[in-house]
Amino acid sequence: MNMTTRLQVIAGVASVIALPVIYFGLRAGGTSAPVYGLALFFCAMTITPLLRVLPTDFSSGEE
Amino acid sequence: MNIDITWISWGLAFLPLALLLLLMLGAGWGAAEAGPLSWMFALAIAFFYFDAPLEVIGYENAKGIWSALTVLYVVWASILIYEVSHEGQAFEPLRRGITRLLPDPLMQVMAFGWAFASFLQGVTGFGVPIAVCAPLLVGIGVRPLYAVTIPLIGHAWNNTFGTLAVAWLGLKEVTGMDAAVAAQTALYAASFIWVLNLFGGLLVCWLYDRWNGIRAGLPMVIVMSMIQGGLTLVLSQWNDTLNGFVASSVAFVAIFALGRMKRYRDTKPATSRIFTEARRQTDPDGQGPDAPAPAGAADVVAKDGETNGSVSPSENGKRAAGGMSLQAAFIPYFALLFVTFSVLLIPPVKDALGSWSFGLSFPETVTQLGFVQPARVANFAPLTHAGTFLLVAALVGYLAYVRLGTVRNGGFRRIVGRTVDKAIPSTIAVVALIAMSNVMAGSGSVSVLAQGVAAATSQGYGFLAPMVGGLGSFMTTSNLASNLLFGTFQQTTAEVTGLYGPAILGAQTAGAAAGNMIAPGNVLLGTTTAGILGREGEVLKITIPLFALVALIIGACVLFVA
Repeated sequence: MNMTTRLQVIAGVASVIALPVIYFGLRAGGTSAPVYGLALFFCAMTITPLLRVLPTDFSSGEE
Repeated sequence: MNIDITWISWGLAFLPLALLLLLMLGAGWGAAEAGPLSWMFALAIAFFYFDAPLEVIGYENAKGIWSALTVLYVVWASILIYEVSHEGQAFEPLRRGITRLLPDPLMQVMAFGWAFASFLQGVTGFGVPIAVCAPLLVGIGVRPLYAVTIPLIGHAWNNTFGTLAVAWLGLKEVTGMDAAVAAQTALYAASFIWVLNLFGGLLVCWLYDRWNGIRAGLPMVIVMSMIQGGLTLVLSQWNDTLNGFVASSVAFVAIFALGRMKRYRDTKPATSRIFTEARRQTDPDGQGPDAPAPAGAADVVAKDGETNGSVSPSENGKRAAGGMSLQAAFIPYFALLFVTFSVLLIPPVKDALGSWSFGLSFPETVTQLGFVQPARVANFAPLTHAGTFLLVAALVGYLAYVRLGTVRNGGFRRIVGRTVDKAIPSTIAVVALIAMSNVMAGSGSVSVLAQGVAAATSQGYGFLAPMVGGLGSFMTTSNLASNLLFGTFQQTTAEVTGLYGPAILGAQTAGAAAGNMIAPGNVLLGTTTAGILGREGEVLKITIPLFALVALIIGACVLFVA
């Protein structure tokens, strides 16, 4: 698994974790949990566009 | 909603979509990269311009992630069934068997890319026709780019009345039309869909070999279209749930009968540019089904310079697969059909399995500009979901291939490894695209887009009504979601502009059906299973002009009748 795939796995897992944090945070009427959840989702969504602009050496290393 | 429809509001509402298209078509980015960036723009515009508060942003993203998970279930299972067939070396026997039944290469392409894709859409939907047919076409030596494009075009017509007509029932539900209006709307919808179906067949022939392809395929396209489109039209006045399924099933059987016609029963060389170099070289003068084969999807693709990221079967494996019959090669797909029919077409079974469901309920949300998004419950019934059918079919296929001895040692591990490798990038893209469409819908951007089009065109709106339906499908990858999103809008616009409601609603759902050929989610399913992930822009460069052409033709028809 190279660095790109590894980061994409992290992004996917982070997106899934963000769902209950946002949803249950909103259902509970809080503001901090949904913000944390959205921030987590935002970070996950930045990964693939970043991989596009990062140097190839960073993402192409095979394990 | 307290927002004026101006060039600025419309332009900002359109900006995320424009960016998505620009990055995918212009810059050659894949959906996994362009999707998240466009989502960020949609998020910023929703928050800063459309005054969507945290609650709206949060719920819409949660809806998006939840919907994406159910879509991804289909994506992952589709990739798995492909990898099982690939590891079981089923594509070569499949190619050989289909070539024997349908010696004409055009008929082979039409059988998988139009008839079988439409049939699957009649039964399952959810992108399964593209996910399943793209690798099958690759397996018979079609270049991956065309293997994705052809089923996208071929299956589109059956989106409204296929999948047990959920999209049509959704339109009826959201607009609250009575029986008489429903019958009229079904008539218009089915008529426009027939136009889409006919042009779909012709466009596939055109992709095959331009005008020569159309000349060669015209008789078959006319007969198939009479069955698919014509039967759907007739049956739409009798039963609005089964018409798409019945029409596509009859047509799927009919194409094999058509293959026995004098015009199509002789073996012809596979000279079309849609075939890989390997297929053209091994089949230069139509040597027939026993000619040396292009060794399955992986080999074909590799020689053509378009990798699908799969390994080639070993010589031992080739020998083992050499004795496999067409029926044996088709086992996972027979299993898919059996499971789907058993569950969906037997109401007691469907009711019993569908009773186990879980989901999230989302409350009504209101933006600070007053845009209201109604409450809804997003349920997931795993036992009646297309993903489960695919998963069961993949498992049955794997066990069958193991028993036949075509899976080599370590096959299971390779199947899982390749499935994970292929599925991960499309996972990010699907999540981002669905979250983006939800944020845009919940913040009122989509409403602004549609209202802007209606305001600019007034009486001529009928011409653009299919485009609006197509826009809905482009954003949501669903005919049903497009109908739910724009059904009432189209109905209201028809009333305000004095256009004939049933014709406009028919155009909405026909346009939404056509929009499935450009929906990035559908494109992703195809590029993932055909092994050309990241080349979604190239597919869209082919399908967008074709969609525009079909939408304009349907729009012109609407102008005459509305």
